[in-house]
Amino acid sequence: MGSTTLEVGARCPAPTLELSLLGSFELRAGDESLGVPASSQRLVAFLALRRGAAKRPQVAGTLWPEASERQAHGSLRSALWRLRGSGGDVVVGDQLSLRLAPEVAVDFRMAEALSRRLIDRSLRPEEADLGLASIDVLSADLLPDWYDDWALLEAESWRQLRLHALEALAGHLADAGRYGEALLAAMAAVRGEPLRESGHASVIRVHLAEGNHVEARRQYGQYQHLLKAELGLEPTPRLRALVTAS
Amino acid sequence: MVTAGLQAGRIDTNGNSKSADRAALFVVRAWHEEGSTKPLRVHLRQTHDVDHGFESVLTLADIEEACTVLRGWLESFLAGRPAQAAGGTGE
Repeated sequence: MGSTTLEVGARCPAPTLELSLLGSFELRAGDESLGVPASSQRLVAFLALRRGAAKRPQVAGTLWPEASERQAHGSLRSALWRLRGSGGDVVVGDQLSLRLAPEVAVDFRMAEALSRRLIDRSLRPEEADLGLASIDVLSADLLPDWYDDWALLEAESWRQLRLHALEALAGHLADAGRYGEALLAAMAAVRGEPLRESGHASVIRVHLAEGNHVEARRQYGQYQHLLKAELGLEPTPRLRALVTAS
Repeated sequence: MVTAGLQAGRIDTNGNSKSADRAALFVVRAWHEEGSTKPLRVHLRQTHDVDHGFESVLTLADIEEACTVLRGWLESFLAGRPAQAAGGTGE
């Protein structure tokens, strides 16, 4: 590692920095939204999605893959320089590597942790995890409309995690007798992927837990209709058994 | 997830990465619906210009159909036709 520490963007004794990657990119210091140039946004987002430091050549090569090595390093220096105008200590590093400043709170990281608490049966979700705020967080895509390979891969990985988490959340809420919120979570999972059967199964289970057998069958019928129209297929016997047993 | 992209980029004078006019992207997401008579699900998103977002999104349950869409997308890309001409129904 190099000897000097570079503080990029150091300007003021900044309030807590919050980086939002869910829904859209936004960097905030308290209530203030900080304007970050596009090329710097990509740098900040890339570092935020990594766990730990990234070597400068890797950062430059990933973010500017079509450029020569010299051009890519120049673009990286430019992106870092532009961050200085954004008013927060966002990126730290040295001559060899860069990383997101540890004090930057990233919504995506918190959402990942939330998802794991909901999905992992050996963990007990916190009371604050069970509610509408979690449904909102788990309904948001990661950096939609970003088309870099590294962003797309993370976005797809998050998509899978959040759909499972929404279904788990629906189960936790239904177990607690909070059927309205459970239904919202399950419906959010269906919206995330309308042709995914487990989402519809979650909705049906909530209806059944509440004793709404007609609603459960209606949901089954909607999925059956959709699957037939889109793919010419029928739901699985397992899903059919779920509603016929009721 | 499998991605396949024909990406051409350029760097502007400010060091920003810019998409070239014909930067295309085809994203395949596949999953397995256990218990279904045809368990494969293939979700396809395609564009011939990422600056305009995905131009076509569809889900299929057949390998050959998915391959046909990919072939059509590549052919239409080379011919300079819109991605939607590659086939399938958009969502």
